Amino acid sequence: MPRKIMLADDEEGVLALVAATLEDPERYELILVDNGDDALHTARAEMPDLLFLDVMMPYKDGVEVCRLLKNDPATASMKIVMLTAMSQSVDRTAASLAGADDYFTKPFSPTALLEKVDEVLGESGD
Amino acid sequence: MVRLLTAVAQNLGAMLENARLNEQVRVELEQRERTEVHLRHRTEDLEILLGFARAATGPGSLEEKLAGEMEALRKLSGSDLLTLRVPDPDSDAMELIAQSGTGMFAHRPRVMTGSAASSAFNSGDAVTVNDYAASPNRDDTIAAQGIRSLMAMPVKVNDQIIAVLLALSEEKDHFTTDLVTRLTRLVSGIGAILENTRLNQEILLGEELQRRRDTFVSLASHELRTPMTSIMGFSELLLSRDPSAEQRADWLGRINRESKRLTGIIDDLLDVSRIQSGRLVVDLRPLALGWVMRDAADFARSISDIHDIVVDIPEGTASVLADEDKLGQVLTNLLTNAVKYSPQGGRIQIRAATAPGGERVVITVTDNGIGIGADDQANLFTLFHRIVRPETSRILGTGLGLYIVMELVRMMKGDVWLESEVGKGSTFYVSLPSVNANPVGI
Repeated sequence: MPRKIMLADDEEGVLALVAATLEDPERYELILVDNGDDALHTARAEMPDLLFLDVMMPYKDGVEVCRLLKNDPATASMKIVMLTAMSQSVDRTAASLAGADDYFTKPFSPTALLEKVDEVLGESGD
Repeated sequence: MVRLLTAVAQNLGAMLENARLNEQVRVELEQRERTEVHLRHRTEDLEILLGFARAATGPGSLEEKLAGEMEALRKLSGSDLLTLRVPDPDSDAMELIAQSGTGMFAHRPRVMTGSAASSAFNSGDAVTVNDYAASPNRDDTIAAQGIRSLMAMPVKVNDQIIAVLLALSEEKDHFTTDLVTRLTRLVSGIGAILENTRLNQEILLGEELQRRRDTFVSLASHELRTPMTSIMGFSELLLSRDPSAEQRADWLGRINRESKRLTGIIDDLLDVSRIQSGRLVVDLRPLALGWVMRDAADFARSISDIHDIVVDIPEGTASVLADEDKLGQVLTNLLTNAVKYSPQGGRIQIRAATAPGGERVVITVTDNGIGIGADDQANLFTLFHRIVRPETSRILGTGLGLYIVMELVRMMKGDVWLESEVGKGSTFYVSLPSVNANPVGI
């Protein structure tokens, strides 16, 4: 059964790259959204196995979405990886404080993205 | 007789002794009085110095700090008016920064040249005029206001004169040697307040500059990394996978577009860096607007085939004094924005007109796009500001363009502003100095 992976990013190019990288319907079911509000609502409705969140997004930034999901018992166990071009340590700290499971910095290699997916989903014990 | 003389002598002796004792008492009383006055002065001086120390190290603006301490010093000196002046860096005038006292002397000029204040500042010594009416350097207008004596005293920090304290009195010979000595001791407190305030401002400015630099580096890094993600990612996919012809064309197209975007961002960031460091210079020359407006319109047409881009330069429109390349950059930027923020297409007009009076030319760029709300209008020319609305989520941008537009227009001695309404479109105005006698050759 394919794993449900969701990406929230307001950059169309990043959505297209992740879609191309994870294009394997037998392994991955992809959900793509382009703003923070949609990220929150869709994550609650779809309950993805792994959620990649951009930080700087319209309406709600990714750190806030992460915090809301991790503080909600219904979504607290959802695996969340911050996927962002903000690379300073203060940003990593903010993501960590919001409860993010990991942090992935743009630009990234598709190979590294696949490894990150395997690593995070593997840690879930499934 | 002898007895009488002896008695007289004894009485005289007693009287002399009494007189001696009385004189001794009088001298002691005078000494005690002087000591008491001295102690009272020292106590008053210490209180004033304590006030200065509190003001120098405490919170509040320089004006607030000086107001209270200048009043205390004025009362102590018995002056009718006390002013504090600092040298104006652009002239030899002394600029008034604080004063205490009211009445006939209250309305003083903000700057004084060739005055006692300037003399004290230049010589480094206190200047006292005990009979102003008889002074050869008197200003009759000032004398007519009732000034009888004055004292100007340099305020020093680390032996460097940074200000002058000027005290005025309606009383002749008011500024005695003792008073001048006391004020000389106390005036160092004013110097401490001025110096501490200057140092605090330097620290705050340094912190603000560092904060802005950090924000700029962080946001610039973000803007560069975003297109790099597509370039790096799709090129690796091309190398590691075997895409269909259609996929290959799509991925190469993305790499190409993002490379151009990256170049544009780097150019903008370099412009911002040059602007902020003062390294960007403009070459202002008389410039007919025809070519520069048409070139900008041609560029805008090259990125959109769904817009009707119209150039309108009425005959007789004055030329401007501007940098051709920089003005071209400004107009291209405004037209590109007009294209991007009117995604449904439509008419975009770039128009020039000489303003009433003929001293300025106003160029307008008008679109019928999504418009800009009041909140966004207030921050539109701020670095990295972007309009965040559902209809803008697919519009690429860095938030650098309008900041650069504003700075370039300012450097050309112009103004830029806008009128806009959400859903109805926007008009951006660029006003530049005209060169009157040179009509545009269209």
